[in-house]
Amino acid sequence: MELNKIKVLYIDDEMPNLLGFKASFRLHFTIFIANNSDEAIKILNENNDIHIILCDQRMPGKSGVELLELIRTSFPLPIRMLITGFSDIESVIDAINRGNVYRYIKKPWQQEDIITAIAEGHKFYLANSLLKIKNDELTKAYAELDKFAYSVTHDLRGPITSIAGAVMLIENDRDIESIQKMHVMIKHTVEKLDQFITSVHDYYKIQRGELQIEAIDFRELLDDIKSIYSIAEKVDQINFKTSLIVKDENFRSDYTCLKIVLNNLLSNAFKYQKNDNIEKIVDLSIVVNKEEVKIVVSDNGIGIRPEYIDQIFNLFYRATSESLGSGFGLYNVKDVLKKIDGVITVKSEFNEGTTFEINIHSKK
Amino acid sequence: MIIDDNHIDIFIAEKMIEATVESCEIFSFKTAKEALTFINEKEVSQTKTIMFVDINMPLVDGFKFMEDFEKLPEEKLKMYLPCFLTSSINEGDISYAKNFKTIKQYINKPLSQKLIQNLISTLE
Repeated sequence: MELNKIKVLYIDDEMPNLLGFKASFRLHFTIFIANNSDEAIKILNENNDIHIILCDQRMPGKSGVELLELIRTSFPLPIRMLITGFSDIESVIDAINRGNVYRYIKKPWQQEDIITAIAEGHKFYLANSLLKIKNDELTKAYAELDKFAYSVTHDLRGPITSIAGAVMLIENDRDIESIQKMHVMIKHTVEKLDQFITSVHDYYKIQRGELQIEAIDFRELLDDIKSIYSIAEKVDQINFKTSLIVKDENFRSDYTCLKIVLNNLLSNAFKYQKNDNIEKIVDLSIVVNKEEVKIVVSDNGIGIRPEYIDQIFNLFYRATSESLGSGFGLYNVKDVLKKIDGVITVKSEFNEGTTFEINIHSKK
Repeated sequence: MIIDDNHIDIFIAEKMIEATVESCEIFSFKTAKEALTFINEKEVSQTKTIMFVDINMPLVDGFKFMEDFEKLPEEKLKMYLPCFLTSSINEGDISYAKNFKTIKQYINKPLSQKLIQNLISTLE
């Protein structure tokens, strides 16, 4: 950082000293001056990025040491320095040792002394700031980890207890029809568990993974996707319509990421259908241009209530009392899109259907 | 009464109860909201209903449900014997569950015949 960006507050009761200081250093640093503690505090309140505070020791009322100790409680970040003559040295040593003052500068000062002191102090300020930022990040990361561990434990254990219960029931049952019904339930639950584990895996892949940018063959992507949903189409009797218009063959992005986006949105569209709908529809349309691709996924399923629609991209949030989702899908989609330079919008009407629109920019 | 968002868990609980208890009426609800509506509308009577409440449900979870439930008048509260029935082994959940004075037991899924028999004899 250039020296003249360092912000310095100089506190002295004598006006000529203040003006002299400002005149000497206004080209080196950004100088703020204060005549007394009230003015100093006002300046600190208005400028929260002051790096260095220089204070004269000999002042009426509170001494420099006392003033700096006071400031420290409300404004702990700026590096505090004292300007003092030899006779005050005892109180200065004490202040330094107590941690209230970083450095002292002898009166009368030379320009060199001040510049060096401020440059050193600034380095110390930066080191402290970085530490604080890292600490904040770490606290946040731990909180997220806790939340994650809780949700994962529940979402893994939930299906397992369902399976355990079904197995217990089968043990005591002789009725074939009943056993078959239980068998279907176990099968569904196993699938749900597997999907969940895939979501977690995707989540980590997105968090940690490197992108592999290449020219995307959307025909291949669409075939890939269609084969995944062909069974669900038949079993759940869903009319899966797809359309692909390729205006340019040179769209570049990460194939796996695109697949994650499509998979999560389609899986939701297939899941959240209305049971009593005569014709269940899921529509996927892709339009590829040179600079961007537009993907639209829509369904005529249960829709999302307006009061919940803002939260659907939050981790573990589920906007319906049907416990079909893992709470990862849309969060993963949003995360992926951030990585591959895309945006997503959603429109929905409760009980009528939902439409997601995604625009992704080509990566060089 | 069973309150659980997962229809499979409801089915299992119902079957278990039917296998253990000779004649009983089972009410099942997939949402806390539906259960509360039912409880509000039911007339005050001397019947005792064992209530299995799942903790982890989307939108309104078991804890929120119990908060609302415990605000009901005393004569309604006396009609129910609520228990948490959950797959959660999380210490935070277990200790938070203790905040609810009306909860009789914290039971881990899956519900078994033995658990049901124990529960009934404890509550009598």
